Amino acid sequence: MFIEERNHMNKSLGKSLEVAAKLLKIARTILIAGLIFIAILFAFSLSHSFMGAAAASVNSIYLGKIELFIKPGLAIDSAVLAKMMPISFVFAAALIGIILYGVILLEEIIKTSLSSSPFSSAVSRNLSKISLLIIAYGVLTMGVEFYTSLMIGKGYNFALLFNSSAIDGYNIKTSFDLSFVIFAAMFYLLSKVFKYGEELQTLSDETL
Amino acid sequence: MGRIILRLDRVMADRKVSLKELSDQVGITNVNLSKMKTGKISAIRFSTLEAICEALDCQPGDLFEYEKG
Repeated sequence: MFIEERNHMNKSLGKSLEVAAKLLKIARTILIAGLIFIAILFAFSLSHSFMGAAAASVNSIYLGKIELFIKPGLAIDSAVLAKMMPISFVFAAALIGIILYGVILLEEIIKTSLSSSPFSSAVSRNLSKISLLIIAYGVLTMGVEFYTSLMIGKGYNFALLFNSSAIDGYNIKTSFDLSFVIFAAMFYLLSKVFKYGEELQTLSDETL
Repeated sequence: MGRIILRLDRVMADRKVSLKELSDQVGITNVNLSKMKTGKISAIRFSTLEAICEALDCQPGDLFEYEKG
């Protein structure tokens, strides 16, 4: 009876996991394509003429929902943007890389769950790794936020843009979202729950 | 602290029942029965014990021995 119950449970769980595995495979393919694209962009960005042309094509800035179109060669320092853009690609590649590794870890979790049991050491270990990845992603996002503010501050001449007696000054806001800490904690706790589940699974497997 | 030893191999030998025959009658795999013989299990369900006693025509006490530590 117990073997039949376990087979039934595995079938319904197995179907959902197989669907999830297919979706993750699609996500992995898209992320790998994105990473290759960013790598190509980075390679091009090392060429001064390419970056000069790319930076020169920047002719607007978003202020909330407003897009301000700027006349070429005036309030935008294309040379500064051209120097700083390659690092943006590195940040983008790092973020995509982290998400890709997370997808790979989730695929391993599903593979282990389908082949043996969700309550195994591999699953709890991978969940713990995902919590660390969330921390890394959060910290990197803060770095991106800071670098973007720096790039905008150096690349645009706001004194010229907002040369109006109606404007008292400007401030480039850099905000940091710390909610990633909560998500990381959630996954860490989940890994501990699965670790306990692993112990119960071993006990169950050793019971005939 | 003592330990419980499973004397399944002795009862199987007395009844001249092979591992495969017992496995077919009880509905447990050879591998798991082997684990029982070598003491690699930590617990046994009453339903499994009933099936073994039925197959080997023995009492539960015939299968277990307590060894003082």
